Amino acid sequence: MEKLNIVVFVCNWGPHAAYQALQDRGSKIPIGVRMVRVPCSGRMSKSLVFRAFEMGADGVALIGCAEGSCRYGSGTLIASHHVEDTRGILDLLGLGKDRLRWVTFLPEESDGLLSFLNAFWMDIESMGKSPLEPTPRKPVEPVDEAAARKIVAAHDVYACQDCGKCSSSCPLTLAGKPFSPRAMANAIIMGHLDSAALERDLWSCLTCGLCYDRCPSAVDFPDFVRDMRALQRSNGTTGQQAHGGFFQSLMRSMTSPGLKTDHWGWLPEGLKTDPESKLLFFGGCAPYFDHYFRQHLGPATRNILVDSLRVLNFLDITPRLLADERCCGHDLLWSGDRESFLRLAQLNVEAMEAAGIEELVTACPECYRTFAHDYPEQGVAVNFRVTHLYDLIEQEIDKGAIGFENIDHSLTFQDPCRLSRLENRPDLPRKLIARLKPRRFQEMKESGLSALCCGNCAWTGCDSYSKALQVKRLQQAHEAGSDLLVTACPKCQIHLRCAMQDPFRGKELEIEMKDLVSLVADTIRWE
Amino acid sequence: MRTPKERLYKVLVIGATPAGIAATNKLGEMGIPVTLVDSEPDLDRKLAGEDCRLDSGVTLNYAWRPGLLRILRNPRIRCALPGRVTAIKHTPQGFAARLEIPPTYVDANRCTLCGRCVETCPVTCADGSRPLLFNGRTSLPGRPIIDKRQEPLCQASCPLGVHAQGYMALVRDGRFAEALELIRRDNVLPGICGRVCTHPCEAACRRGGVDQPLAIRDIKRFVADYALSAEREAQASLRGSDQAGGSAVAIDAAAKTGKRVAVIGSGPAGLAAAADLARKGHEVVVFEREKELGGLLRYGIGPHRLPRDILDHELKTIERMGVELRTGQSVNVDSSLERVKTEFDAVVLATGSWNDRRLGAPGEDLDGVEGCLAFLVRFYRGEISELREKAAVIGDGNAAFDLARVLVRLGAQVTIVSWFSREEIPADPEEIKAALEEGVQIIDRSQVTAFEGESGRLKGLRTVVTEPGPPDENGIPWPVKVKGARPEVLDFERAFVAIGQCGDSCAAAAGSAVQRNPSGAIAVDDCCRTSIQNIFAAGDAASGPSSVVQAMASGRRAAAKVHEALSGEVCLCGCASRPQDRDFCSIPVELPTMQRVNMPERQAAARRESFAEVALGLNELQVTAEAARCLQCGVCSECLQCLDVCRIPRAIVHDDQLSEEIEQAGVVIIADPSAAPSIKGEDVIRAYSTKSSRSDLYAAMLRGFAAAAEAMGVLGGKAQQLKGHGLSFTPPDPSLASGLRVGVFACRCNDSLGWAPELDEYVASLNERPHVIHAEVVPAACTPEGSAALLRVIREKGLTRVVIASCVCCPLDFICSACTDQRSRLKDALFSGTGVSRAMVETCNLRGEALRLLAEEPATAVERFKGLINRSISRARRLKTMPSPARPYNFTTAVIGHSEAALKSALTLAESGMDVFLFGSRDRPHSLSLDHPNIHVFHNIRVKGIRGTVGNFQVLGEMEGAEQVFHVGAIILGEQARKNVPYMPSADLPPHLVESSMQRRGVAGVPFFNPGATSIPGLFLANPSSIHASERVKGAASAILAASVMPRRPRQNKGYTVVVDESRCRGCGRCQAACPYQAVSFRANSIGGWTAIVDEALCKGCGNCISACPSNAADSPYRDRLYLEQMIDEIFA
Repeated sequence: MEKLNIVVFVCNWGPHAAYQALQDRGSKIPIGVRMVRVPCSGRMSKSLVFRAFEMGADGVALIGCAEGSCRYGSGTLIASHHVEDTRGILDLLGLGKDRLRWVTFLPEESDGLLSFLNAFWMDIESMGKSPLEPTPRKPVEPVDEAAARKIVAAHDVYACQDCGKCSSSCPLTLAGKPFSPRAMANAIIMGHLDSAALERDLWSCLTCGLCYDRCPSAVDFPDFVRDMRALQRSNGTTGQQAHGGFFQSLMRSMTSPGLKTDHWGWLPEGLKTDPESKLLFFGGCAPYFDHYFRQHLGPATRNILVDSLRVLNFLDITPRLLADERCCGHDLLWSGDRESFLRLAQLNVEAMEAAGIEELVTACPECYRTFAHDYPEQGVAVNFRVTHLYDLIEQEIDKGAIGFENIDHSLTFQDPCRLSRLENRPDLPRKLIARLKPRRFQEMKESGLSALCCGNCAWTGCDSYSKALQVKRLQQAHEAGSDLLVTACPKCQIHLRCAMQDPFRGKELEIEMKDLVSLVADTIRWE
Repeated sequence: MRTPKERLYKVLVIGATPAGIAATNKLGEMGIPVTLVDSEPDLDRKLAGEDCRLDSGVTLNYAWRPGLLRILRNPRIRCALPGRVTAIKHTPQGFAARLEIPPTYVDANRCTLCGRCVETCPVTCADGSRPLLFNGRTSLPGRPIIDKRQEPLCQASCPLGVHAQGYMALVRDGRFAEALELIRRDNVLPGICGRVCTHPCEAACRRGGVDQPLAIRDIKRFVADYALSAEREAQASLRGSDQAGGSAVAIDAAAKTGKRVAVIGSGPAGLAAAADLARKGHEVVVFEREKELGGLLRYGIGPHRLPRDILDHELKTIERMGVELRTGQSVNVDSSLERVKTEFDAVVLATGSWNDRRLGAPGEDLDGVEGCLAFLVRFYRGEISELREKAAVIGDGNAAFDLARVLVRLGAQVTIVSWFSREEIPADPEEIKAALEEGVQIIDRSQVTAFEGESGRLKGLRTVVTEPGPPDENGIPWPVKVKGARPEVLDFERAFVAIGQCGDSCAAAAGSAVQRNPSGAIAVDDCCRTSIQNIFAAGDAASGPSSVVQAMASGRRAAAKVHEALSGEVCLCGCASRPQDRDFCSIPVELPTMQRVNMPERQAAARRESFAEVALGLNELQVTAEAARCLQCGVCSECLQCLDVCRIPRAIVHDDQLSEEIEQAGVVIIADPSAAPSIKGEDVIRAYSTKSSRSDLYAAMLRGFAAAAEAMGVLGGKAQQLKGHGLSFTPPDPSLASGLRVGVFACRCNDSLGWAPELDEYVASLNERPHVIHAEVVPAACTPEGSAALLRVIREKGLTRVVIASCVCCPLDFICSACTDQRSRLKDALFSGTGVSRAMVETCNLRGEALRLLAEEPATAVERFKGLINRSISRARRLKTMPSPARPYNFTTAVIGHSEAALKSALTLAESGMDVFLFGSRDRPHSLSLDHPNIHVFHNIRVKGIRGTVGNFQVLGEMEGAEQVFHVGAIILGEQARKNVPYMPSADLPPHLVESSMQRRGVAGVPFFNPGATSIPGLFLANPSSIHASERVKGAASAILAASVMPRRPRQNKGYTVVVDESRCRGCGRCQAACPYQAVSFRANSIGGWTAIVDEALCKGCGNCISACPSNAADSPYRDRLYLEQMIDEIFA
């Protein structure tokens, strides 16, 4: 068997003293165990823990101080939460949560530590090598100017009239960020490809598409930024990836062909699916998000998947699910990692073909856009139909005999930019909303094609300005007099919920949120 | 009333108990000089017991490790560990204590704790204990200590002082070459002494009390023969080469002195003297009047006991030491000395004692009557080849028996005539037995009264029966003739008088150049000097007849005196290093008895035919088993093997001595009453309680703090009075130079885990790398020479980035519970006042990560070695300047509360010269007035809350409806105040009460802090709850906690503290929730939100806020996210 790689992150205090005693005593620590000393087990973010798996670890243990003896008080608890969250993700990913362990020791407990290391080694040995293939590292090269010119030409950026409408509409600029799409375009045209400002701006763009909407020359700025990011990656820049790059790391790990995820293992009973069906329900990554954000936001975005299935079942549709569903690749593409995106897209298309899928239905605007639009555009042929769940619901409702129960809330709606603006379908969710029976529905100040972004895209560029933007959006929701913010994308929920976390404004920003599908599932009925 | 003491600014703390450590720690932080005394040599061990276990489950040795290492590094703190206060008395300056510091034999400032001494030490005592007390790499101070007891009896009884215990231990381990080398330090004739020594060591052997003494002489013989046969084998394989025979002769690397010494006589005394002198670098010439060397060794001892090849080999070895041996050159003591004196700087007379003692009976001059030695000399010169006659040997010493056995071999029919009874014959029993076996007859209890002759030739002996006489002062019952007994005449053709030798009495009588005793021996003084300047005398010539070993000892003594006279250096012979008051290791009652091994011998029948050696020697199995019987009485055997492996650190000091000194101190704190001599007086500070149970650790710690506070008060105005405001600043730490000039140092850790040539090659190859200016393997970085060499290279080559691959894990001013004395010593040496910035150094734990695997997994070890060095170099290229913010401090302390503890804390601070603001609580303002100029009581102020952090707290008060804010640097809260004065993290965040709970096993969320402190730095509790200590103790303790929180010296930049990137910070507050130290606060940003800021002085660097931050706004400069990511990536690369 190939050599196992086990990484143990060891806290400076209790366990490192114990580990060192093992080293000094010449105890036989299993040879593949690599120790990384950390100042406190709570220092290890989920991204760092997961990164070890991405890079080829077969097992990872976070080793902290016995409860009640954490030098800093908070580390033990925080670390155990990080591990618990990540274990949930490992389960979803099909790696098995037991590849990641959380243990604690007192400084004198070197014998216990040694037995743990040996037992853990044997556990991992029985689980075998991790199916994840480390992401190949590429040598850093300077940005290819010719390629940049080509991108500029392909998106017709030369057509920019320098009118400034983009900057005056950009929600980031309006939030106060020293950021200008126009200036960025000009810098690239001038060939200033290495400037720090360009690098910062390129990765700050929300790719929400508002500028594109306003551009008199119809420069597709989001696509332009996306392609420029892919180019910039060659010189090693990846921008500010939020959450320590956890999600990019997670999605890259899904490009391993040998990986068999366990995407649906958590699904509650009573939902009808059909393994023979040619219609696939593609869930998307919401279950991962719920694990990741469990401690801080406590979202339940995987309910969108459950509720989607409930609605489909209600409509007598029993879709097929891919037990080992992978990510669609949206975030990889939009954070400039085109190579990983293409690998993932290829794996997805192969899986669909092998399953004989004729139609893919999804409730996620990003998955929808990616399958329907980006796969073909990036050269991955798709031989199945891609349908947004709303379209399907509309079709079925149109057949008649379907009504909705009253909703005792005043609603407002947060547009998902992938559906509303980038796919230019702001009417689709609204049509559905119009069928609902809320107390009231009120659009926010900016809506539809002009809607404000939830503040983040592809987990990059999150900062104080995105927060300001989100605060503004939440304030708009309150200003609309509504008490339930309807969303159509799990990420909108997450990002807006994150903005509500504010020690000073906390209460005044809070608003209940619910996904449109859940609202539909809860109120749909036969008439 | 007595005049007040004019106290010395220094504290003596007796007892490194938790209280003693607590006191030392705080006094150290206050900058007050301290001497800490405890009989335990290792603080780590001292504080590791169950009685030192905190409620959290962690023992103090780990919990306080940072404090303990700071105590060791604090130049103002002297640790007498181990040490003992034997007496203490009052003085006008405070106290004078008699301090006894026993030797540890290991220098804590040099030891690398590599453990090789332990590995090489051959000794295990009968009870399983070992001489090197090594508690692992965590000991504090980081060094083992050596357990030495009084000189073992074997060694003490050996005139040469040979380390018999040492070579027993080495032989047991099969380390024969080392054993021989050890013997040869003191005895240059091991092969000879291994055969003919009278072995007083065996008589003294403690094992004799259990069963039988060890066969020390036989083991010595084996060791010498073993080397000889090895040498012969080597010679055989190198036939023709004259380089053959590189026997391990320990020659000191002493430089030649240019002095010439003549030694007259090549007997044991002369040879021993010559060898020692040669080792000291003198040019030595030995003059021998006979054709062959060896003196009495050759002309007095039969080859059946001492084969001549052994003798020749040992002579050759001495020759190899550079001694020139001239035979056939008679130097007449009385006539030719002058000639010799002109050629040589000194002369040693070791001419021996060649005159047979006469019996003094009638007929002694008859033909056929001869002295023992006279005959033997003739025989060994080759003048006699057989003697087939009936011969009597008169005498009963070893010489008599030796002669008898020689005569047997010459064909004689031999009878020994002894005046003692058989049982009392003084010769060695083995000798008697061997003689009997060979056919020698013994007639005992017979005194020869006359030699009967005929025609001038011997015919017989007239003897009389004897009986034991009255014992003399030595208890020997010299025989006397039985009164009235009838004489008997025995027929003999030859008689040999073998009753010893005597000096040249004729020469004495005639008067000679050198003065002689009446007995004929050369007269010498205590320093072996004769009556003529620079002429010394040794051996039988000076002392009269003695044994080989005594003659050698005499020769060595003379050599030492010659060296002293020629060089002025005094050589210390013997074992001055052993403590005479420490008894031998005990003999366990379970020790099984075991008979000593017997040497095989040639059969008697075969022996009579030749002079072949009778005793055949032991084999390897026998000697190792026999040596294992040794009790290792002195524990450390002084085999000195440890010196060999400690050549680089040179930490082992075998002649370490007990030191007794008088320690003067202004204040004495007794933390361990059992360790302190009784002393009365109100000014003796006692940090222990006679009443409460000893198990309350927190109370003990508080008592320690309180004692320190009291000491601070007693020393009064001399303590640094911090008043008003101040600025803590960082030492002049140069920011990183822009040019990349990387130096790489890989430490071999004194080869404790081995080393491999590939590693050297790899390090050498680093010189080819871009920007690598210097790459070097160093033997041990943490020794004073090691770190000095590093600094020299850094400065000489102008390095701007340095990789240190040793055992040091981080270069930061940070100590975790795994840090060691060695690590902290190296960091201290590199970074304290040297101009080398921590920011420019990348360190990695090469020892733990790579070298540890060298023995068992060499390939992995080399791979990890390369990986670690590579990673460190690439990180060194990316190092960043560390932040070094200055920070304002307010030096006033607010005390809020009414309790006795609160008032005590206020008074304690005031008395040590610090300013105090005293407040009541919210509901009960103060009305009393404390009469102290340093205390300002705020009457009628209702305290509504407190805010801020260390150095910059605000007390929010209200008086008659008006809000008032008081600025202070530290706050002490009484218990009532804690319960009703809320802490406000910031103006807009909800207030909360200050938590008083301490860490407890199983309860998460509380950080570690000392009793009396809180998780908020600078905020203290006057009455920490549920600790059984008096209010006075608690109050004083909180006072010193507050006093010591103020900065007194530049703060080191930390490098691990968190910095928040304002543009990235979302102001979500997760970081604040993760920080129990209130290090995180917020300020408004320019876009209507908030940004977190981390107070560098409060941040402990745990990084829990970093892992909670969603936007990567929080990070630490040294071990940042990128660092960890890259580390993970590179591990798998």
